[in-house]
Amino acid sequence: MTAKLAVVTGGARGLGVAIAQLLVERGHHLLLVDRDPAVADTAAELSREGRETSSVVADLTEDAGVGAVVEAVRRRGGLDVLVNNAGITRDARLSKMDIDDFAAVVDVNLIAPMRLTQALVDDFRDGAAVVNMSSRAALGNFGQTNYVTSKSGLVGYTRGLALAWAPRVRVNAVAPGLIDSAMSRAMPEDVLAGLVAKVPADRIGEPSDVARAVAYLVSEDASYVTGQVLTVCGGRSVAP
Amino acid sequence: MTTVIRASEPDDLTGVRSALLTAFEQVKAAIAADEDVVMAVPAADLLGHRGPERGAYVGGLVGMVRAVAFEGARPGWVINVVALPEGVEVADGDLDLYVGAGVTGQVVTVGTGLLGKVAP
Repeated sequence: MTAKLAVVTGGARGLGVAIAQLLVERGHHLLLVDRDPAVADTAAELSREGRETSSVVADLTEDAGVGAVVEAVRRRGGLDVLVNNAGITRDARLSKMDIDDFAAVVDVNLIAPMRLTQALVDDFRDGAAVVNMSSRAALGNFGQTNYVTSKSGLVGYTRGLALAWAPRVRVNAVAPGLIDSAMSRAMPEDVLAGLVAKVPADRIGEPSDVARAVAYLVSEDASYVTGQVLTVCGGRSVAP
Repeated sequence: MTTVIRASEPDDLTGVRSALLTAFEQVKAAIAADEDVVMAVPAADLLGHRGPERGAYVGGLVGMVRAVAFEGARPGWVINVVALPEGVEVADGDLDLYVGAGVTGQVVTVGTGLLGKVAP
């Protein structure tokens, strides 16, 4: 089997690393993207025999950053997988959230992945797959009007793009729920325990849970799946 | 009183961004004026039938409505989305008729066009 190139944004740490690691294990070459220069170290750590792993330091809210990724992809001759994983939060109650808080999150979580995906339109090989990282919070969450707007917008974008690019490229979304991360570990213990108690699976999600969902969606096993949202939340989105 | 926000039809990234920021400010202004909110959107855009940009925009509006309803401006305050099929015109003052008492944070889809599709 010829190895395929996967581009993973937000690849310096956290979920992005888990996704990238699994895609490499499953035979993909890798191009990691992050505005954090640490992404180069991550790419080096994930390298292994027979796999090309490289990185681009880029701010995807800027044209120059998108251009750098496009250039890197073209040097590799095109891409087969794009995982739009980069994202930020800037939480506040609506009464305390100003337009800059709102715009910053929309810019990174929604507009940037749209810009990158569109810029790569001619570089996707036939049969390629895009996965957009949404969130269970797209269904609604307290103090996250900016984040929920961006992640729900990403769901709408996923559906529209799936229709626009079918049958050449499949486009899906993954919506993680409560996942073990730097953010969750920073919560007070009792708050985190309270959140976990609402998860029917009775545990916090691991980054690898999300990575396996992404790996499925970009694989041949999902060749008949496009325009969908795979929610990885331990059942939280249907629980009381 | 109810503030009616009618979805625009952005066709590019700049338009999507601008329209979402405008909606955010309209919602904040409505809350400040103690008015409920109803957003009128084309039903086709809920599933991106008229392009990914409009899908992203209307998807964003739906998320905004859910998040704002989650917080709730005050007891009894409501915000909803009414999704209209192509060719159906509803006057601003009549949009509330599609939303029942106590309903908030919901997407009310008028007509049968999205039956059998993914619930937005």
